[in-house]
Amino acid sequence: MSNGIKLHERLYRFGTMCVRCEGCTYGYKNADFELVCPIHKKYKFFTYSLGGLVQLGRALYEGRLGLTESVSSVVYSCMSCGACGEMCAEVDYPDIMQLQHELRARLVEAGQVPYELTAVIEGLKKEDNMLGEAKADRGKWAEGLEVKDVTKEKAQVYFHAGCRYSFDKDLWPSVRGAVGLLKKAGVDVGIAGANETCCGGRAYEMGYQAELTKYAENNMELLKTAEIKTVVTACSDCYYAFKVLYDMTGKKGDVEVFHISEYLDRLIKEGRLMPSRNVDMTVTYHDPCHLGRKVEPWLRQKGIEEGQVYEPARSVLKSIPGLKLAEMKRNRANSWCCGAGGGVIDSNPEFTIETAIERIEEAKATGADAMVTACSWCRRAFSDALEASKGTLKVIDYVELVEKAL
Amino acid sequence: MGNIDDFYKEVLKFIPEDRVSRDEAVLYSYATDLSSPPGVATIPPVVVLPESVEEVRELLMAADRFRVPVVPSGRGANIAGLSVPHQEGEIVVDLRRMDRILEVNTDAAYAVVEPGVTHHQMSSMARAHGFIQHLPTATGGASTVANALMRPSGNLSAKWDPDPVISLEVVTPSGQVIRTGSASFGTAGWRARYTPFPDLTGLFACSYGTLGIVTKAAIKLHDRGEEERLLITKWNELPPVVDFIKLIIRRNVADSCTFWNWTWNMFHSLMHSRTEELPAVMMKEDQKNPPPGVPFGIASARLSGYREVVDAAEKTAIRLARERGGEYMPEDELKQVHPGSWEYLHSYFIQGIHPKPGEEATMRKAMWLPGWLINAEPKAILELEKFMWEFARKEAKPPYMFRILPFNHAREFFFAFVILIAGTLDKEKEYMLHLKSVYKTLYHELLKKYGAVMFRFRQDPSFLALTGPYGELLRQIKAIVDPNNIMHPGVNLF
Repeated sequence: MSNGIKLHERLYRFGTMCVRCEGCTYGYKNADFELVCPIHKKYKFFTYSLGGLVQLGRALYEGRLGLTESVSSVVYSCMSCGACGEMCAEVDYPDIMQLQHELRARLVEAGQVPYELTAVIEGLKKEDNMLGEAKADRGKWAEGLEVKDVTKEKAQVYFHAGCRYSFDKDLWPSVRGAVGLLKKAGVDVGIAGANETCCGGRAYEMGYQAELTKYAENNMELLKTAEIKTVVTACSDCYYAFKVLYDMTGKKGDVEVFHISEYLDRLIKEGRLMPSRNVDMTVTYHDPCHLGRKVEPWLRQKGIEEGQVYEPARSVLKSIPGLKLAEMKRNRANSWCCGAGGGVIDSNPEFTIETAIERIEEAKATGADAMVTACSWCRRAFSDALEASKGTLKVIDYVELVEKAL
Repeated sequence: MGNIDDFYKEVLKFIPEDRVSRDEAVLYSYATDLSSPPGVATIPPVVVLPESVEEVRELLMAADRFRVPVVPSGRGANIAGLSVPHQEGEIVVDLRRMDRILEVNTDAAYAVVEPGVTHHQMSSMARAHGFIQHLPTATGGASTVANALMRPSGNLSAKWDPDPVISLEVVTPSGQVIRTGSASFGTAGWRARYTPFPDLTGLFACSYGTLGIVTKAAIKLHDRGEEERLLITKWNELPPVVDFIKLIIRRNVADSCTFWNWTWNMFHSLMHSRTEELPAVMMKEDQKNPPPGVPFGIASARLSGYREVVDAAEKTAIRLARERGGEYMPEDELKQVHPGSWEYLHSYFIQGIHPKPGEEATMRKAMWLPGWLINAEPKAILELEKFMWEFARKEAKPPYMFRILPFNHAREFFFAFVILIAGTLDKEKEYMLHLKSVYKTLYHELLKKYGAVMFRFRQDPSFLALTGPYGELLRQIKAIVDPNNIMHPGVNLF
């Protein structure tokens, strides 16, 4: 039937079967049907929803619509937070996110990409990171840490910092802290310093599929050379790339991938880390999309029980004496995105800030002293939003909180 | 048709640019709904998102002046093509931004809401106040007002009467803002549909936006009762269950009662599963007879009220079922045989929340083709069921499924028969077109043979013609209210 763009038949089928129920835009019972789709909230039209996107996919596939600037502006407005795929019970997330990835890939081929993103990708191609910073500076975050360099010596666990943590100085304490915790627990950990490269995940979500392949191969080659079988990362985007995207594209092999929250949960349960100091505060936990609903369906296919992906982070927080956890109304699969995903932090930073402010307000409504998150991009979005709104809520990285308890 | 550019400029004088779109991508996304396969509806030249009655009023007056046809859309979820454009130049007025619950009157038990309010919003509100509302089988994200105006069949459609609407606020193309029922007096509130004058609420119900845009509606709320219970009985044939349902509804034993045949129950389970394909057992040639261990169908009754009354009602209903060859089906048995049905029915009948997902779509499993949705007298239902099997055997491929429920107390029953298409649009286009064409003539045949009336309008103007002078009077009213025929002309009601 197609006279239009290349699209997997199943993805086209979604477009023919959407009833426009808008289930993709709001959280279900537990979230009391609150909106969970940032673009639907901002742009108001049905178009800006998963339902709208599948209609566009159908029109593009049938050749009724071309890869125009108008289409690009809708497709790239989205933060790829995955709430829609989680909410629409008719589709499974890996499929429906694939629709967006494929549409973006076609837009890349057609040259219809917001110019801010092309600049990011140019920077990536030149410097191997999403911030366009000099690659030689990548390992500076770890200066003075006395941690192994896996390109020079053997280590059992590879700690991958990720682009944002590597270059965003405000966030260095988190990654430095993470390595410190691993060492404290006796983990034989190493980093790649200036030899670390981007995971390729964010580029992939922007439609640059070749970049994912390139960086997956780079990273897996590094691990193979260093004979490493365990990867720990503090960045949820990198976690998603290593754990899901590399697996989906057949690059992951037999490497075990952990987010630092999962690994700390394991270390605490094994008694290798024992939070014993009282941290007398109430916190609320923001579920990063890439650590929750974006990986969850893939893990479920691998046999992980539904909902389990959200628990390790909470389990660690609950192990801290004196710490109280107050959940936001929209939590776990119903979580409201920080606004930084899908390239939006680069192409439309005002929208990121707007989205993050909404989350901060929700966090404040719980009465918590601070919001805890476990993702560099969420941290950056919340920090920028707090600065823009002159907000006073504390945003704490997960690792820093655990450090306080030891 | 007037100049759309001039109209657009005019609209921008009273609605901000971010709520008036001529953007190509936006327009295309408003051109389809589930009724559209295998084709598509018309691409609207403009989509507008009004936020107030005043904006709707200005908009309709401008549309009338510029002779721009208007398609009103509550939230856009529709399976009959009633909220998408069908004629060149029809703009879409999407009412989703008018989504406020304006008043909750817990004393008189009603809520005044805007057309963008969803069933889910209503459910949350009603639960918070100890009420339950009439919940149609549309999806939870659908507009309560739009659904209520189309005579919904639903969780309370028997004991509590099928019509959830009390009174309305409607804007006509001339810019008049009319309130109906007790709301027409201004000081009498929204509590009553009937006053000493003819009922205009009824005029706007089932008008599908052809007479104006409804901007507010008073919707009935119902007391949840001290106790709410779901009673399931299982049956091996249809005649006794129709008799059973008739009795328990006529005698006010249950709030409502719906019969679901075995394939529909399997479908419920399928909705909650992550399987890709329809199970082989659903595709079997002999659709009438279920596989071993599965009843022909189940009847789900909602019981509510004081605990002692509900206990007695349950006991009575079980006795009535057994006397007719039916049997009580304990919760655990239902969970075992049809796990999805348990989840669906409990959410829908007891919690008053539309189950997730909406049953209109099956996406990965099959394409849904809305089948016959008709109302008929109880005795005609049994004849219709026989006719349906024969029809399906001749014209359709498995699976198909049906459900029945008393609609207008027990004076008539709602009968839904649905064919699922286990394939993609590419592969099953011809089959789908074939079914659509046979459905068209089917409604006329069913009216003639069984006195069965189509439940929801299906863009077939020949049906109104069958009503003779009634239809003529409606046309005259339409000509007065909308002399330039700008309100949803493509839907073909008149």
